[in-house]
Amino acid sequence: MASRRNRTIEMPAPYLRRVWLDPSRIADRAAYPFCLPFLRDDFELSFDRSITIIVGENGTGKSTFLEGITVLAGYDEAGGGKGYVPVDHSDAIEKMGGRLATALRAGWLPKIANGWFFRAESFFSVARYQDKVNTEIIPGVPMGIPPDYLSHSHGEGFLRFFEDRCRKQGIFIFDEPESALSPARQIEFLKLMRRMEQSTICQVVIATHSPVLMAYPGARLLRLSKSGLEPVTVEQTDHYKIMREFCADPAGFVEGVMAE
Amino acid sequence: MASRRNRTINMPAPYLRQVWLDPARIADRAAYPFCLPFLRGEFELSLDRPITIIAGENGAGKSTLLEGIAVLAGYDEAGGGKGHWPVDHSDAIEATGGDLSKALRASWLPKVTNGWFFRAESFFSVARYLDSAGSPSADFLSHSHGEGFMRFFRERCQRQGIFIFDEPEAALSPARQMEFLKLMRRMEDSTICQVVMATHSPVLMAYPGARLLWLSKYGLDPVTVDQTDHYKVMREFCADPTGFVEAVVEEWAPRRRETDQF
Repeated sequence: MASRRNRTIEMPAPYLRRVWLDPSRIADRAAYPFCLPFLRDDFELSFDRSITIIVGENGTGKSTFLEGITVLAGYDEAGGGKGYVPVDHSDAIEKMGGRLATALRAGWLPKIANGWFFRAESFFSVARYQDKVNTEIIPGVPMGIPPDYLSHSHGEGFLRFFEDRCRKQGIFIFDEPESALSPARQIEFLKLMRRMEQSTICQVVIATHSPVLMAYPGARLLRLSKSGLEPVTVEQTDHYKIMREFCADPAGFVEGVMAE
Repeated sequence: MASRRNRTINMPAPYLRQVWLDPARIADRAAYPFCLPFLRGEFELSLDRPITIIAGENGAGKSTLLEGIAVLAGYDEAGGGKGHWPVDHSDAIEATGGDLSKALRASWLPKVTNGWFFRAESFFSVARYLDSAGSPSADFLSHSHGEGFMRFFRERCQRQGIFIFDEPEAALSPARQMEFLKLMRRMEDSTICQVVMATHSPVLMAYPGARLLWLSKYGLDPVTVDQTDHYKVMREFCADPTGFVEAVVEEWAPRRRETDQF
């Protein structure tokens, strides 16, 4: 079938089934990232759905964990797909994900090396690199014409970037995709997630602070804390509770916060 | 007084009082950014309080307007303060804010050229520049994204100046946004900081005492936080998260292209 030309594997997502820590591979327990509280000797994460969403306060290690998964999948930590090493990599990126990956083990069914790692802070350089070196066939974009993601406002560029990248079989990792998205654009992003899930060939792992994205139906929602990962509902998250309290009385809420 | 050593001007914020478009300076009305709908008529922005907050949908031109103001203030559009040119500037940035500023006029009381222009997407390169420039308290990248942001804000926002924030909430969890509110209060209480901020966050929009403006194709209009779409969407979501998301996802109609694999 013509539409399956590039589809190499006839199995549905999730492809990455399990990630666990192998303590024997840790050189120095006291060094970052291995000093992160959640990385106990028995740390393990099972992916049982196409879409996995990870929540948690800033600083718990969500981004480092996603970087670790990304390196396992064969991407560059700075964002981008396999073979796309972002501009000026020498200078760029925390090496923490790479360090973590050396002590992680993964179970795949089967191993997939396609996909994208998207982080809010590296979008800018990834998109610029794409503009420069547009050598890959992007559906809907004629060869040789750069996508020009930077010519519109930040949020517009984000969504075009997602839409162009997330059509093929692969594992797609998003670190705080809501960063540049207004609430209306977040709703667009939910629709993109639905489309990826229905394709059955996309596995998605998202870290987010957005209660709207956390509420995606059918996803496995996990909270990362120092004791590890545990399943939660959106209503149980601090992010949602704060937002609900704020919505009930915006002025009173803000005054209360600042009086603390 | 020792604490006034670096304080050159003994007047309270706001320093930038008004920004307006001078149509005579526009070379090409059809070119971006002058084709932005809000710049069509007589555009004018009055800044009557130390803190001005601009809300509006993506694409309305908020970021371009902030870039234009940053260039008027003598900053680099890519983010950073006067004299702080981000890494690899030749390659980096939309030039649209600079284009806009050529046709903007401003009145200051008095002119202040200190401060910072902060945009979410350029934070990364600004922070890296600070790291490589060897600022003693730099190292903003060694913690998670949000932690780095807050340290960056706190370090930069203590002196007299005009501080421009484009979507500071980008890397901040709700708890960190509440800390950012406290930073705004500290800046306002200092009386020497003027803040101009664009945001999608209802929490930041609700800062008391700020002038909240809605940017649409008709220009800038004063609003209250509960009148904004951002707040209304959030309130509807909070009332029934699952029902809300199910409803919006169901609205989706497949949009397929021949080259799609699905």
